[in-house]
Parts: sequence; structure tokens; C-alpha cells
Amino acid sequence: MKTLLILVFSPVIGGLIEGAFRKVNARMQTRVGPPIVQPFYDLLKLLQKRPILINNYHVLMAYAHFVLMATALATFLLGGDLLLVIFFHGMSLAFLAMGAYSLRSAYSHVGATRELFHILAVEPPLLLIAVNIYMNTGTFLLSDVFETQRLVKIMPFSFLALIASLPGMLRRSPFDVSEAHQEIIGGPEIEYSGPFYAPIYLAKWLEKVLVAAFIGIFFLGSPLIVVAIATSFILVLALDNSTARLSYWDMVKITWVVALPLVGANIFLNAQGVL
Amino acid sequence: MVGYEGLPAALILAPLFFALLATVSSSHPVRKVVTYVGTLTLISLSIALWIKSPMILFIREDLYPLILAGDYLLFAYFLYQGVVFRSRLVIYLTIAQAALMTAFIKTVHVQGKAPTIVVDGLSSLMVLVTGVVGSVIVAYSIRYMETGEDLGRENRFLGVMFLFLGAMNALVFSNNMEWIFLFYELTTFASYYLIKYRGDEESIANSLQALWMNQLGGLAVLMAVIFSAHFYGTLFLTELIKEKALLPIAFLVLGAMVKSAQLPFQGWLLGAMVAPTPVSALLHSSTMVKIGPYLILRISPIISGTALGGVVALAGAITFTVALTMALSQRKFKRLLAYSTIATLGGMIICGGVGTPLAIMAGVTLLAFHALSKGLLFLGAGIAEKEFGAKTIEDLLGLVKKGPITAGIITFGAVSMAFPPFGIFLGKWLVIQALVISKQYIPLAALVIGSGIGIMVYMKIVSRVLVRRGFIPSLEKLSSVYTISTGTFVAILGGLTIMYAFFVDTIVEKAVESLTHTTLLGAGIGGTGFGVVLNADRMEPWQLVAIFTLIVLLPLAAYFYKWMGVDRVYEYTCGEPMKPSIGAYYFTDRLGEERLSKVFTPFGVALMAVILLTGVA
Amino acid sequence: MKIFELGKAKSPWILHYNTGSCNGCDIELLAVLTPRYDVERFGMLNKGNPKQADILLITGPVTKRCRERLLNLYLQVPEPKVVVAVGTCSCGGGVFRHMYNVENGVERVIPVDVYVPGCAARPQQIIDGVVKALQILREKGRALEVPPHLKKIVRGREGGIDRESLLEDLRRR
Repeated sequence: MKTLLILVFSPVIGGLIEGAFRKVNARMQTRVGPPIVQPFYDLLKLLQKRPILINNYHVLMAYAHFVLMATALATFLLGGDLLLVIFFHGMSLAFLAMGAYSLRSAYSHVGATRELFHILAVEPPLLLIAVNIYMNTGTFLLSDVFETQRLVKIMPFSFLALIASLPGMLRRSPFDVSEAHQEIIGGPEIEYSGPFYAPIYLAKWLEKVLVAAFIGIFFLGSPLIVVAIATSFILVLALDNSTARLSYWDMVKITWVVALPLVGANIFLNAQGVL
Repeated sequence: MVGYEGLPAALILAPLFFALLATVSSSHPVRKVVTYVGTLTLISLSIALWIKSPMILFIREDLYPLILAGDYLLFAYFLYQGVVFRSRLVIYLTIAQAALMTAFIKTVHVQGKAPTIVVDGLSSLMVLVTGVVGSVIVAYSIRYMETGEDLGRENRFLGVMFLFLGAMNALVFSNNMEWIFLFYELTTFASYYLIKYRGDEESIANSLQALWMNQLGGLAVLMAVIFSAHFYGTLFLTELIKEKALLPIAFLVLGAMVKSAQLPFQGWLLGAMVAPTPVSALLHSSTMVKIGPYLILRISPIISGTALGGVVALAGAITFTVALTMALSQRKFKRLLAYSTIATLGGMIICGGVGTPLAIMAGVTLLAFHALSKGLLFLGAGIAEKEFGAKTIEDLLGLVKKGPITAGIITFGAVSMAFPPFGIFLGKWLVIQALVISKQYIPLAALVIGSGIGIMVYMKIVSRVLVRRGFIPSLEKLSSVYTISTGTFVAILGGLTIMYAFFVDTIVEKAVESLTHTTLLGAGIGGTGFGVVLNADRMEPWQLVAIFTLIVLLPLAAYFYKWMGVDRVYEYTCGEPMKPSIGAYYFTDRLGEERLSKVFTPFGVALMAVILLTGVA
Repeated sequence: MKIFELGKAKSPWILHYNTGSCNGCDIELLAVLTPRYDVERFGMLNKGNPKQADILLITGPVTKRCRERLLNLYLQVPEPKVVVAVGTCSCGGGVFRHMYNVENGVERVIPVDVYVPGCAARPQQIIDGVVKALQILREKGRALEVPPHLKKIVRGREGGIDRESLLEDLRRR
């Protein structure tokens, strides 16, 4: 029931998380920053722009990207299969890349290829974390995983691996190659404007809710669940503000080198019965 | 059920009949009619067989001299080809095979009362794939050959194609290992002849490479025959499965690995891409290379749970990842598809290595859907090659403007290889679960890395094809042969995808029952409505239907819905008045083919050695 | 509706373009985005992408070469849009007025809404100009905005305009 409420209000929750991101980011840079409801103003403004497009396919792909991200979130919160959630998330980013590929724009193509590298960097650790969850709960179905308590106690290294993949998932430094602002202006999103950019903007909010939910399943049953989510996000922002961007190759290499051994260690320890 | 005994024989003899008819037909229109009639006949026979299966079995000892005659005829032909084209490897391997065969039949005599021909769930699925997918590809080849190929020798081309279909059917019916050896070598012959068809220097060199590598596999099968007769006193697979005989099976596994071009034997399949595209579609993606996974699935009751099974699963997983990584640096479209085929075959071999009902469900799903998706992609590649002159990935740029239907076919094929709700994705999803449940974590790690790289490979194809500005112009005019053959594949693929639960309850159920003697229901698996229920997992119907609708409606919407009242604008080029030239990423410095081959081919050789060792031990 | 106007005024995304200035105004403009003056508290983001911009901040006296590129960018910005000419050069040519290679200010090329004089314009003045621009943005709608000589061509056409053909037309003049 609670998860259904979260799903229904996920755009609102996502917008507030996004606004909080920008506010905390600003404060870390000793600025004042925009109000927390700024993303909603952005969305309202986007919906009023005059629509312009290049071809009808890339616009449809923006909507597909949003629908798939919403499907991933819905599958998660309605207790579906965890593996499917990860694949739907990757598929949603791949559809955004497909839309960007359909344009004759160098920035779009480079950005779309880099978007695929994001999927490549983040999917293996996430899938192995799901495998680890299966080892400890005997199921891939989230409706059963929601019954667990404080998974982080038996899966501390998998949780650390999840934190290590967060910059790649949230597209923050040092792994924000797909939106490398100074390099490729915005990557796959640059040819979208106004009401056709709104679904991409919304999908980013939903992605943040999905990430928060991912972090949350490690802390179910604990009163500190919101604190844990908030701390993880603040860690990611602190990393964002202290590092420069690395290349897509480094993103894949570093995410794998950090996250995969951590999950592997956790699987090994769980299999041996130590944890 | 000893009713329709005629059907297996019909499925072997009918292709031979059409092969003969096509070879003696003197003109192209006559061959066209023969081929179309043959296609329809084979499709109906295959479906009839599947409905009437499983367990049609009988004994045919009297055909043994025919089998031997076939063996020696092939040895003679290969020896002749080795001498004519001065290939030492071919000559030595043929002599070795002939010598071993002669020694074997002179010294070992095996009595056996097991059935020679077994038609169960797995064989009838392979017959369906060969009969439906294979014969449609042969029909497609008619139009392909009309454009710029040598029509003078087309009679032999069609003859060998039909002969191959018959050999495939015979192989999946065979329970006797000597029969399997003959039909294995017969498919090697078909592959050799068809790769050599165009007759230029590169074709001849690559066909010889394919020949000697496949002969190595044949040698392994022959060793399996000898060891099974020597140590276990039987030549029948059903008996070997009862005895859990590991040594001959290890050699059979080696033969399977060669036939499906797994590491380190991937070289011949890549060279085989110089053949005409219908050959690549039929032999080297949809049917012949499936012999490997078929054999490994067939013997999975023996190797499941053993060390050999573990190594087989590991070999399949490593091939999956390495082949997809090598696919990233390919410039030629068909070579990329070849690497993708090798990778998916590795995925099927993992399933054989694991052997649980869930793994077999995954393997059967991958087998059936890969034949359709990859066949569709190769048909699209053939149309792009002939109608638009596009052989490399760079040439495919903007295909959607010149040929929207072809671009749609290629995009649909690529999307069906990577994404839900299509069968390859479902197979991958199931394999991950099967590996987790049987606690094989290293193949699992390789598989999840490979699946991420796979998305990049298929998206690379899509990235070239869809580039355009503005509306799609009028649809191009394609020959009706092209549209009917690709349309059939699209329809079957879409239909099977949306009816996946039905597919599970019928085709998968039969295969699992024949192989593991348990029902899917007993393992907690079944299809419900449009969704699938597994032991620890579920795919909801709404997810399958929603994603399918999205993927199917999007291209239609992209074609028909034109957003009339919206301004058209141009791409952002920093204000400069230019049209950027867009290339694709090839990663040749880090992921180059030679570099990776140098590292992984020895690794593959080591894996094959371990396979043999675990069989011996 | 009031709430939509609120969105327009509270979330201006800017595009900064330099049409040949000495970079003095650009430095002041970038200083506006830094923590000391912090325009992000107004919701302003420097998206380098004209398709996602509402406010164009143009510096420089528009060299002859930049004229075409400025038009290219201007036509890519979807309405409602506001053009702010920052610095004396973009207001009327500034130090470079009447030189052989300049167009004497942005208003000769595209319609300007707000002029922020100064050489270099101070950050406080720039913020003042942007706030004025926000008020103008509140009033504007989605109607197509083009340079005056094109108004005849696009009069009466509500949508479905091909902006590239507009650009071709403008380039030829």
C-alpha cells in the first residue's frame, strides 16, 4: 500500500529530490541556490514553449524513454522482478540513445554512445547485487524482498558496491560523460526542446526515485531509511563537487574495478556462511 | 506411438527429392517453382511432425551399409578437394578420419537394440526451426540470386541447400553416433561447397579453413564413436545417457564446440561470411551452427551437475562475452552479425551445461528466437547488400531515407536481439536465473558483462540505420519474395513473443519433458495468460504486453504520425552552416580483433583441454 | 493561467553567445553565474544549447561573420524568448562602431528586448537586465518571433514552419 502511494506521487517526490539535489549542490558551493520546488517551475516552463522538432522519431523516443523509466519504477514499487527493473532501466536509457542516434548531429551521436557506456558500467554491478539479494532471500520478486529487514547487515559490501555505481547511474562527476556539458553540450538531450524535453526531464526525476528505492531496500525495517538515502545522495554530491570528469573508458573501468569485487566478496562470504 | 512413421523419413527424403529436382532443372523459372513448392512442403511436414511428436522411434539396421558408403564418399570428396586446392590440413585430417573409421569398423562390432531414430521434443523443435526458418530462407535466396549472382550454377546451389536441410533433419533424428558422424560431415560438405560458391580467391581460402576446422570437429565425433563403442559397448545416445558416460561425451562436446564456432574455433564462421547472404542466414546462423547447442542440450542429462557441465557452462559464458566484445570493432555488417551469432550460441551452450529444467527452457527459448531474429537480420543485410550496396556499417548510414522497409527490418531484428519482451532477452533473463540457482557464479559474472556489451553492439547497428531529418519519404519497392520472407519472420517473431506463455506450455514443455523426464509444472514453471511464472520469479502479463505494444506501435507512429503543426528545425552545429559527417565508434585500439584473439584463443584452447580432461577423469 | 506564467518567470534558461566582443562582458557574465552573484537562485541555468534556452545574452558588436551564426542560433530558440544585449558593443557597436567588419550592434540582426549598457557591463547591471527580461518573458506567448523583414513571410502561419528555410532566406539578405 505504501509503495503504491509512492508510485502515484513519484513525480512529486522525484521533483523534490531533484530540487534538493540542486539546493544541496549550491550550498556545497557556498551559494544560495534555487528553491526546492524549482524543478516544477522548470517543468511548467517547458510545457509552454513553442514545440519544434527535427524528425518525429526522436520525439517519440523521448516519450518512450519516459514510459520505460516509469515502467521500471512501477515494476519496482509494485513488487515485480528485480532483474526486470534493472533491464527496463537500461532499456529506457537505450531508447533515449536510439532517439539521439536518429539525428544527424555529432553531439547527439557521441552522447548516445556515451549513454550506452553508462548502461555498460552500471548494469553488471546491479545485476550481481540482485543475484546477491536472491542468495539471501531466495527470490527475485521485490514483493518478497519488501518483507526483509535490514538487508545491509548481511550485504554490507553489496551496499558499498551500489554506492560506487551511483555516480554512473545519476550521471554526476566523475562519471557524467553522457551529459558532459562543456564537451558535448548535453549529449543525447540537446536536440530536444520545450514540451518534447519535458518527458526526458521527468524521466530524470523518476530515475532518482528509482535510485532512492534501490538504496532503500537495504534498510527496510530500520527507522534510518530516509537518513541512509539522504546520506548516500549527499555523498554522491560531495564526490560530484570534488572531482573532475573522467572519460567513458575510465568510467567503465573504475566502476567495475570498484563495484564488481565488492559484490563478489559479498557473494563469496554469503556462500561460505560467514555473513 | 508408431503411427506416422512416414514423417521422419519424409522429412529426410523430401528435401533430397527437391534437391535432385532443383539440380536437374535447367532454367531459373522452373527452379523458382520447385523451390517454392519445396518450401511449402517442408513447412507443412515440419509442423505435422511437431504436432505428432514425441517418441516416434524405430530401428533401421539395414541402412548401415548406406551410412558407410556415405562416409567413404565424403572422405573421397574431401581428399580430392584437399589435393586440388593444395591444403595439407584437409588432406591429413581426411586421411586420419578415414584411417580411424576403417580401423573402427574392422575391429569393433557393437550389438545394439536401441532405436536408431528418435523424435522427441528437442528434435521436433529443431525440425520446426529447420523446416520453417530454413525453407523460407531458401525461398528468399531465389530473389537474392537473381541480383548479380551466377545463375548458371544456381541449380547446384539450390541442390546443396536442400540437401543440407535433409541432412539437418537426419542429424536431429539420429540416435546412433555413427549416423550422427555421417550427417555432421554432410553438413560440413554443404558448408564448404556453399562458402566456395562464388569462386574467388577469398571464398576458396575461407571455405578450406571452414573445412579443416569442421573436420577437426568430425574427428572429435569419431573419437566419441570409438570411445563409446570401446568403453561402453554401445553406439546409442540414449544408452550413453543411461550409463552417464563422460569420456565419449567430452569428445562429442568438443565436436559441438567446433560446429558452433565457440572459442577457440571462431575463425571459420567469420571467414564464412564471404558466402552469399542466404548461406550465412541458413547455415551460419539459423540452422547448421545450432547443431552445437542441440548436441549439448541432448547430452545435458549426462553432464548436468558434473565438473564437465561446469566447464561447458564456463566456456559458453566466456565465448558470449568475448565474441560480443570483438563484435564492437567490426566494420563489416555480416562479420558483426557472425560474432553476435557466436555469442548467442555460447548462451545456449551455457544452458546445456547447466541442464536444469529452467536452463533447458532458457536454451530452447534462445534457440528458437535466435533462429528467427538472426535470420531476419541476415535477410535484411542481404537486401541492404543487393538493393542499396551497403556491406559495411558505415554504408548503412541513413538507410531509413533510402529504404524505410529495409531499415525497419534491420531495426526490428536488432531490437529483438537485445530488448524485452523478445525471446533473446527472455532467454538471457532465464539463463541468469538458472545460473544463480545452480550456483555457478563465474559464468554468471561473464554473462552479465556480456549482456551490457551486447546492447552496445545492437544499438550500433540501429545508430547508423535511423539517421534522418524530416519525414520518411515514400516506402521503397521491394520484390515480393523479400517482403513475404521477411514478413513471415516478423509475424512469427511477433506472434511467438506475444504468445510466449503458449510457447512455454507447448514447445518448451515437450523439450523439457524429453530431456529431464520432469514436467515444467513439477519444476514450478509455467505460462499463465500472457505472463510466465517461475519458481522464484514472475513476469507479469502487463509488462510483456506493454513493452511489446510500445516497440511495435512506435515505428508505425513514427511513420504515420507527422506532427503537422509543429515547426521543423535543424540540428545544433554551434551556429555553423555545415552538415556533420557521422561515423561510428570502433574501439580498434583497445578492443581490436587481433589483440583480443591473441589473448583469448589460447584461453579457448585451454578450456577445450580442460573439457577433455574432465571427461577422462 | 497564472501558474504557467509563474513557471515562465521562475525558470529562465540562458544561452550566452559572443559575437566578437573583447570578452570583457563575457567575463562579467560568467561572474554572474559564480557563487558571488549566484543567478541560479532565480532558477537560471546556463544551458549551452539554444533549443533549451529562453533568454539569449548576446555580447559583442556582431561581426559580419557572426551575423549568420547569430541568426542560426536565434531561429533555433523556441518561443517565448527574450534577447538581452549585454554591453555597449551589442547595444550599438560600442568601441567598434562604424568599423568595416561589424554590424553595429545586435539590433541590426535580431529584435532585442533589453539593453544592458556598460563597458564592461557590471554583474549587478546584468542581473538587473535579466530581471527586466523575466518580466517581459511573462507577457510573451508562443507566437513566432522573427526579424522584421521576415514578418511578411510568416504572417498568418500559425505552425509547421520550416525554420531552416527561414534561415536560408535571412542569409541571402
